[in-house]
Amino acid sequence: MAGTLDAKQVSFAIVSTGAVAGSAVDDSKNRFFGHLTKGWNGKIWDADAITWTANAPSTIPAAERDSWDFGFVQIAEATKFQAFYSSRIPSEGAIIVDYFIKPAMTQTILLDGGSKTAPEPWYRDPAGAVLPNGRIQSASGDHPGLAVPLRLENKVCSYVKNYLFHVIMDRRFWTVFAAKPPGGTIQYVGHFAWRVRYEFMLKWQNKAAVVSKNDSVVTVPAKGESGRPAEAAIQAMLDDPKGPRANDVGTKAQMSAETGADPNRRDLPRRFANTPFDFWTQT
Amino acid sequence: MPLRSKLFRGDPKLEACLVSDPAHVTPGASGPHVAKIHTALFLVDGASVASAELERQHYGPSTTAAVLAFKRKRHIINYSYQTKADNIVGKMTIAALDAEVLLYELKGPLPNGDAANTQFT
Repeated sequence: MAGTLDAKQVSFAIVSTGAVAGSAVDDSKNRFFGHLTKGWNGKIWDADAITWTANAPSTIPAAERDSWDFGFVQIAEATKFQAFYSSRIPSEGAIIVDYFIKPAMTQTILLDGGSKTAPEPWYRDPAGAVLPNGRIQSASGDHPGLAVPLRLENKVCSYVKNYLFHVIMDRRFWTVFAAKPPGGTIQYVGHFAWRVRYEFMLKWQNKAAVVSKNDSVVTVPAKGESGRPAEAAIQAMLDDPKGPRANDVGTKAQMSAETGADPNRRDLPRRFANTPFDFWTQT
Repeated sequence: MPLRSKLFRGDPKLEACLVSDPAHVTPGASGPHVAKIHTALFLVDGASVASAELERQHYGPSTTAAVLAFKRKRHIINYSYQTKADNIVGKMTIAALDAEVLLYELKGPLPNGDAANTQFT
């Protein structure tokens, strides 16, 4: 198999206009949700908030192109994910859940994308189109989310309910445009790095959760860069891009942390000193 | 037999309430022992107590209503002198609260359901 995509001439179009960190409370499922969205009703999860295309000139012979895969490999770094639960009164305690640390979280550099919907190592099903100028182009998008329980029961305070007070989830992503010949080595053509940091604070009014502060930050670059990412932390994954997938590892870590023990979950006998006086109001 | 729940046991005012009529906890009371009654009513009945009473650890109108509701549901009446439930925490009430909190403590946390698979998507 001869040919390649010209990394030096890679071009990205990244669209994140209007993408914001939204939130929703679903009391029926005892869940608080965060979602990168362009307008979200709290229910439909499959709309991409950021989208991108990447293309590059090809020297792959036309007769061979159809047997290649073109698409994106996405690597996620699970940087921080903590949820803090406070209570109605100081003696009803507090809970800290720290998801992205061992033993619940087995690794923090992860191959992103669905194991059931895309063959390894692709983020989504690889698909390339030949543009009129002969460049090969792929397109994709993303909409990262978060889900945490609204309430947990405090193990050291008679299992009284504690209530979500503060949640932080910080992740970095490297989206890499790639080409792979059949049976050959994957070629990294270009990339861009982006970050989503959710941070919400909540209060409870007549037993209903209300977001009191949204300090979330979404950082998406306007353009991409050529070649593979240079960050040392992800070189091993780039060299051998394989699972388990971020969603699978993250979901297991979440289940394990919420039902686990120190250091992933700590139940405290007193609530946090910084719990605001109006954290819980009942009229 | 003294109080057995982790929440109540060893609290001097609640232990006294279990054995002594003058130590009954009544509307107008305040203190950490009232806060424990608030927690117990919340645990076993999901009672709504006004945040002002929670903050002051005070047995005010909403605590009174929650105690009365708890007693009515369980028919806690001293038939030697009552025909209907009153709004104080006496021997029978503290014993009933203690038993239900103990059950709650032994049962452990309720399952939280499946974590939604929505982290990295």
